[in-house]
Amino acid sequence: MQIVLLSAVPEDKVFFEAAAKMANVACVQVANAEQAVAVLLKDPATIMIIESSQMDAFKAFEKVMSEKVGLFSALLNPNNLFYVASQSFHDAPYLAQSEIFGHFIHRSYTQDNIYVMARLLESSGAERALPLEKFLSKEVKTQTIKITKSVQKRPIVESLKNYVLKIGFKSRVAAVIATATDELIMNAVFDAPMDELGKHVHAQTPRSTALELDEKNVVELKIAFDMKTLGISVTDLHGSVDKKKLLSQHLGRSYENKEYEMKTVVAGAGLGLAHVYRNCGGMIISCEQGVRTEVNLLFKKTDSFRDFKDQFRFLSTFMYFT
Amino acid sequence: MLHVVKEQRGDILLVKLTGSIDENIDFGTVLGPPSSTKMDLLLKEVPRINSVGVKAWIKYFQGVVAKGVQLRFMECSTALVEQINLISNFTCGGTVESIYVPFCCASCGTELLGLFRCVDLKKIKFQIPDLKCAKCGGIASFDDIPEEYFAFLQRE
Ligand SMILES: [Zn+2]
Repeated sequence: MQIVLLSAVPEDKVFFEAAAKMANVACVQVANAEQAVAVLLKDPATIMIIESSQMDAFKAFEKVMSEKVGLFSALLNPNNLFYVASQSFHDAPYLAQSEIFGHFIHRSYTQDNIYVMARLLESSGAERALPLEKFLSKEVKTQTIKITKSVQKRPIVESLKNYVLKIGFKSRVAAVIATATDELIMNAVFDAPMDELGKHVHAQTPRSTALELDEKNVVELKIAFDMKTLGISVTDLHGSVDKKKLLSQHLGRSYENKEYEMKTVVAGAGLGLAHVYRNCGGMIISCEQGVRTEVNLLFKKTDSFRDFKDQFRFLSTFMYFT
Repeated sequence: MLHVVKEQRGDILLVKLTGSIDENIDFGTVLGPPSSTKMDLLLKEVPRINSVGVKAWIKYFQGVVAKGVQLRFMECSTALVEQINLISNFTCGGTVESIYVPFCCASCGTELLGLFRCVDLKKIKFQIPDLKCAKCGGIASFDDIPEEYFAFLQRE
């Protein structure tokens, strides 16, 4: 396994080479998409990091992948494809719309983020993405909560907010973390369950309904903190993420420039997740189809809300079909 | 739980909301049908709203506006300002009168809030003056990104 870097941006070379070194993987820089694809054809486990700030350059890469590998070829694993850009994810809509989207890396990284980047690269190389605590330092303290009734959500979210304030996060950030966790739990309780025909079980269920969450419907919340970063993880046992829909309709949609109008008749937590991604540093969605979905969020502890907004942002999707 | 206090002032119904808004909210029950042609909402004490709460909010206030009621949102909390910026129909045709603006002290890290009328924010072109920190006397500066926090005022 090796990493291929297709980017002429000098800081990308420094950052990704350092992350590759930490992940114990060789990193080679290539000059064009053809060279990148040639490496992939020799070794299908190759991880690719592609500069994608310009739509034309990205489309050119996608075209070469399509022609030389095939977009639906077994050789092409989007879990191994990282796209780096200077703009926000929703300002690069061609990425969200692409069949070969895997991960978005915002060029807001610093030296401090080499560790997280290395863990993402390791996740790509591994059979399954690494769990939440691996994205935090060794000093991490983790707490796991099993949610067996939907009504537990509110007190859990309120105590989480108090905990986050106690460990020194700013109050606005604490509210953001509480709301993000609220959305993820709601999503896991009401939107994840599917029947055998692939239909959402609770499409019409009012979200205030008190549900007993037994066996397959149990939701797990993990809270991890290493003094610098807070990690939140919510896991359901349904594995029902529709990646294409999630990316194109919600996470990749721009609400700054174009109007994002809320349709009150449509159920689903898309908007919730869009709000979550907008407000966290890193979001890792790992979905084993039909088995489990784990959504991990990373929030950096900062001295101000402004600094919180400036933190390293990324969106990672790992999809597993067994 | 969301706590609601209603007060009739002349032809204006003043409604103060306190607490988080989520899936348990039933605006139809707690606010009922509008009893005035003008409704002012005081929103200082709404610390959070989730996406299910947003849907309930829009559904209720769209219905209120459809009945010819004039809506004014006053003293909007930072959480509500975020929603107003994110979702174009969050205000359902109502007017945002005033919002809380976040500040952070560079010396001691204390968070402060300043209440600004939207008309004044436009006048000063979103150049928010520093405040004196109530705790240490240091300088507290606007703690967000102007283009993002005041986005809804710039698209009007
Ligand atoms: Zn101070």
